[in-house]
Amino acid sequence: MALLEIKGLKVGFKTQAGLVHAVDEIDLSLVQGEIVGLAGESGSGKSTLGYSIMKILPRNALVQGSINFDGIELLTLTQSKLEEIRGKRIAMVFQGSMNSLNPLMRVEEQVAEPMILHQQANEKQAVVEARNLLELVGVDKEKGRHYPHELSGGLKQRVAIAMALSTHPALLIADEPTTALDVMTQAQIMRLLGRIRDEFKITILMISHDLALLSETCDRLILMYAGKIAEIGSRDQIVRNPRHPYTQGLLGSIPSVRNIGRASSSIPGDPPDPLNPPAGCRFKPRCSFAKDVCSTFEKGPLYVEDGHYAACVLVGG
Amino acid sequence: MAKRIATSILTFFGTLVLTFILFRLLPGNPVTILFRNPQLTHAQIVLLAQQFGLDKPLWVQFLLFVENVFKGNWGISFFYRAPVTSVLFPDLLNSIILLLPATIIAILIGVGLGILSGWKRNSKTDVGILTSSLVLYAIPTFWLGILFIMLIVRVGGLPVAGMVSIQASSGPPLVYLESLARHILLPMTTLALVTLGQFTIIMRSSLLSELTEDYVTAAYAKGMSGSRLLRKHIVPNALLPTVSIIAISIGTIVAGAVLTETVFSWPGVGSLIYDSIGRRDYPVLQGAFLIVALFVIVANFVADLVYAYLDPRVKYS
Repeated sequence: MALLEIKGLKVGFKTQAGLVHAVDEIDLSLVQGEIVGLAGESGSGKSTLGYSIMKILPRNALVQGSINFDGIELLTLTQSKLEEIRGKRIAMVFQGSMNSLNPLMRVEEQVAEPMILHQQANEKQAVVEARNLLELVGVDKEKGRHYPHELSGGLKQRVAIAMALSTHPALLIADEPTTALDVMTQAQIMRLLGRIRDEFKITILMISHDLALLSETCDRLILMYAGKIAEIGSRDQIVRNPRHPYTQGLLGSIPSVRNIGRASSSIPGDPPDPLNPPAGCRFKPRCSFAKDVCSTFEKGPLYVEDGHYAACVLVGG
Repeated sequence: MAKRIATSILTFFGTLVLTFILFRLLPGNPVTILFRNPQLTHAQIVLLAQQFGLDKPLWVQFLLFVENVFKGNWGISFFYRAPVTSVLFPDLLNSIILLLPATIIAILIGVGLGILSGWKRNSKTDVGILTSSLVLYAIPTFWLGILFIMLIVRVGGLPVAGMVSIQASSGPPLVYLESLARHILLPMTTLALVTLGQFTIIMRSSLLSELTEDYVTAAYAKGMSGSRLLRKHIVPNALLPTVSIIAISIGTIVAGAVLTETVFSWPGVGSLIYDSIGRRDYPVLQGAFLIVALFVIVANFVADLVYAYLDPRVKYS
């Protein structure tokens, strides 16, 4: 049974220039215990998708569709019921955790906060528990007394992960958890997240622009382009048999130390204007396989093989 | 820490130099002003100048001046023919009786309104609070004071001048306090009103900038209610810049006190400054100047300490 079931999700932002379509008709389901990577360029709507699950979008957001979490419809939930789920059963690790920690609070207090909020833990108990959690994610217990500015970027990210895990959530949304970190620390954090999945049996939705990084840790990959899902499949299906030209382009543009001296290929052009996305396939203007039929292609991802779908006319078209 | 103290001492020394120079630049011979006797012979003037050390070189005079300031010998009032300290200090106490509660009220109400306004940003409440703060900030102190006096003169019920009534000044303590409370109401309200506007504006903008921080979104994602978030995270952090600005504004509060005290004939340092200007009572002015400067320096020093206590990122070693 799916832990998270998203159907027909549409997110728009009302701006002075008009309605910006950030997420457009997304269907998605996550099973318990899997790590799913959500990849895409900046502005593809991947973070907006993560934020809409948490319902922490800015005030000018318009959300339509359905997000069903463990049998509960999140989009129509009252504020107080939502606060019981948010941070308790669904937790989030943010992009650049240096900024997602309160600079004036000791880190152990911040890790303890969700427990005080959701488990009626008293402050002392919660802080003791927080120190254990910090140790679990690889932060010295004594460091708990420190303030965020006294810790390195990698440690802060670990603190943010400990904070998210403190209430043993069923779903963890990690939005660019390693973006501001160096490669070695990135690898450590990714390994940590993998270990956490094994230990806590939680589902992780990992959002990143770094497809290479995602394909190392994730069971399944979702590629988003201009607010729509371009391709979805298991890691092996996507990496070995990419069917959407966008996926192919992204995989081809990953630089490798083996190709030093040769420029990595890239996808020409820019993502479309989210105010006026092109009709039909949104990737058409940048696609080297573009045909006339692409302008009328409005379908969602099409069947490639079991579990593997791609939104392209080349598939079964 | 030592550096902070050194800065404060240096500032006070600078004030001493300025006071000394300003006082020497003022028109008139101190001896003739002090004794106002047209029958003084030249020999007597020379003798008196010697007595007051005015025949010594300026730098010796300055050293003597500094020594005397620290010894508590602040000169003799031209008008009262009494030591400046014995004129100044009772009035200083009266000023503190008025300024302290007025400032505390202004800070509490101003910061409170700023929080409310920032939290309800872009609402009618926000617009209302912001507009009235700007109006209060712009209103001339003496004008508001005069309006109050005109109102009370028509309505009655409250004294509009002085600190205690003559009957009460020699009465039992309770009667004295009751009379004081009735007298302080108008000047305190005036002073609090003209000062609170700036605190509201500062606190509001500080809160707004705090709201854009990522840790606020992260705290929401922990499942925190808006009020808890405000209480535990946003307000403590937003208070930081406000603390230093409040300290700086102590100077303007003292300046505002000159006008308030004059309008309401409050026997404080402000009235004394005003009266002494009319009487050309330079030693009293010099003493008042020093006291006010000392207040501002001490307030800023205390603000630095409070800041270091509130913000773990600031450490004075």
